[in-house]
Amino acid sequence: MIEADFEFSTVSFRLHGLMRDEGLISLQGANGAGKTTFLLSIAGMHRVKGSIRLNGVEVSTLPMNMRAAIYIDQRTHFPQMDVQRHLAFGGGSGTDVRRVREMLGISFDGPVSSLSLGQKIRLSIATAALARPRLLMLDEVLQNISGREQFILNLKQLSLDWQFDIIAAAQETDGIADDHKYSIVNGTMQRLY
Amino acid sequence: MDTLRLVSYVSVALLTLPVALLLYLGLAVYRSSAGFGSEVIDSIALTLLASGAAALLIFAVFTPLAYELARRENRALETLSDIPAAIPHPVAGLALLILGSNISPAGRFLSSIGLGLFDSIQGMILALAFVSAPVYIRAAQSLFSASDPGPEIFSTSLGHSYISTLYLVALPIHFRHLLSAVLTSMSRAMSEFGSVAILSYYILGGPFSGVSPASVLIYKYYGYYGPQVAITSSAVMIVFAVALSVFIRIARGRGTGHRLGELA
Repeated sequence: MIEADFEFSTVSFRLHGLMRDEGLISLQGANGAGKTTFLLSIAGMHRVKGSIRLNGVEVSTLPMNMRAAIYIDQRTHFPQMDVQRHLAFGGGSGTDVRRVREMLGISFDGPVSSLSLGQKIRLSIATAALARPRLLMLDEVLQNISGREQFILNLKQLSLDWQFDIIAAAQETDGIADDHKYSIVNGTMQRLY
Repeated sequence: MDTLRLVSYVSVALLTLPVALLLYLGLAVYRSSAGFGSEVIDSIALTLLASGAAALLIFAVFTPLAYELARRENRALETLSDIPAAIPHPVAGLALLILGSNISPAGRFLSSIGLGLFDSIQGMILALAFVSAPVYIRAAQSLFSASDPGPEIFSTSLGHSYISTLYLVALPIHFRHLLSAVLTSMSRAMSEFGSVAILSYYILGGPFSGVSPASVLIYKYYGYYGPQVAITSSAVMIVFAVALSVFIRIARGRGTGHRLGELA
């Protein structure tokens, strides 16, 4: 469950982060609307005024590594590792790793630096799931994954089994099998359903 | 040849001409036998060893600081870390001399365990690390600042601490360039004179007993024997320094920046 009600301001931008839902939540907005700022605020990259509760735990005062709120974009992978070590970096047992590999289509191995962008994103999401987060935040990454619909269904099943929520942000979120949808315009968020 | 390249060549000539002249005079014209003697070779060996140890010490101690300064702005820390570069190096030597003397608790403790700083190799290493650390800190800070923080954000949000993220993620990604920064600080340490002339004019005890750092020895030769011996021993020292520079260039590899030449 995500319960966020906070403000974050810079010289030229003001964000009012407002969200209260659980499951797979899509967040739609144009370039510069504040999607990434919202996600990074929850992750702990920005100091905000207000409250961020994840599964009932207030995380807004916690350091980034204590929040269990994992942010993923196209750059969040470890290029110096191989696939096996990358997955191990997230944690989890051998059984968990095998399950995640199967459900999220990690059928490849080798150096991360030689993977395609879509494979890197799959690997990052798998690694994040193995860390058993409270929240997984996907910033404009799902569009790079082939077989997106099945991937999202499998990820959603994994999130139900391991009890974490997902926010998937993109400019256009149609086609995502979301439970709830929000839009963001100039830092102001609106719940669509 | 375009004007930019011409100006660049002239600039490099300004930097290398005095050194090239010294090499020529030292190795081809004067060739003083004392300049090639065992005292010079021992002195260069001591300087290389102490500079290498200082560079390793700098890497181990100051990499976290460089990372902190790159990833979380802290002007006070940044200013304080520049102090060794801002003070005259004989003053740095004096400061370490006082720190290691019996008037300070640290000095009394070090003396009690047989690690006095005055005229010792550990004192020399400490002095070289002290004056060369800002060179490494700035280079490593710039490297971390210019790099993509994505992997580090990911590591931290996975639950790893900032220090773990440095050692498990950032350091392996940037190891080659950090090694280059370490070697640059080593070459800076090799050229140090002011602080070691105060703290370790010569070394007492151990395999380097009676040996002076190369910069001090060259200064002594200049004072005792005149320029000829000093020039030859300087030329020998330059050969080692140039070898280190070539090694740094190899360690750094080919730059990844955008090059005008490739577009032309």
